[in-house]
Amino acid sequence: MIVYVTLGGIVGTLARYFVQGWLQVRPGIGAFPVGTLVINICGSLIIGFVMRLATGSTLISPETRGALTVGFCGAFTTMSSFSYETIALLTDGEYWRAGVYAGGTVICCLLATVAGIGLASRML
Amino acid sequence: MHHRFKGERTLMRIFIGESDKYHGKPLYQALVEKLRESGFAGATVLRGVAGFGASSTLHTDKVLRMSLDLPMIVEVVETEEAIERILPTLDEMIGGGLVTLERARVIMYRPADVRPSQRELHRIEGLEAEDEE
Repeated sequence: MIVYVTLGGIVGTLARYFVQGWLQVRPGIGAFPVGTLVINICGSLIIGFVMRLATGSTLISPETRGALTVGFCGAFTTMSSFSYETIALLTDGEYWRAGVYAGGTVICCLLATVAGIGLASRML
Repeated sequence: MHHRFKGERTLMRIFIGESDKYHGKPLYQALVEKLRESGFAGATVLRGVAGFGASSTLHTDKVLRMSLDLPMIVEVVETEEAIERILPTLDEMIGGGLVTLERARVIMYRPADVRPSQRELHRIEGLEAEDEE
């Protein structure tokens, strides 16, 4: 299991590095942490989908489940970056943007997980 | 044949982990295949959403890290003799787990495609006409 989780983590870390890096430098993005927001939402969608599909069927083995959830999603998403970026916005006096970012992250990620679960449920 | 399966039988429940393996194959799958190969009347695999066993480690689908080895239960109903015969094989296949035996009374064992002429024999016990000897 540890090998699977490790491999998933390596892929997730690299995916975050490149996706976040690519998104954040798009024109018009500026200093708002869109990259972190998007990867956290995507990771939430994926984990909801995988967990529902895995626990509702035997299509995904426990090892693959571990690689995709604990490994990949665990490395792909980031709470530490989210925390740091929110505090950075607050420290700079950008209270509105900090509120939108924090609230938006929580709400959108929860909705994304629900959507992932719903998508997998339709397939079962 | 199926209607003669009615009566006093033994229910065997095998509690194992989802991650348990037998020669590289999921153990629950290996058990079902072995039971089928041994001519058992049937077997059903159920996944538990939470549980703990001899190691007292809680497994639950509510916490990601603890959802990687959820409980699996293989249920089999057969004659006591058939179950006794396969116990040594199960003992070899199962690493850690729990196996229980209970008395069960089979009141119906019927294939989905039973012929209309045979349907009366396959009715739930107590509802059928007398068996033809």
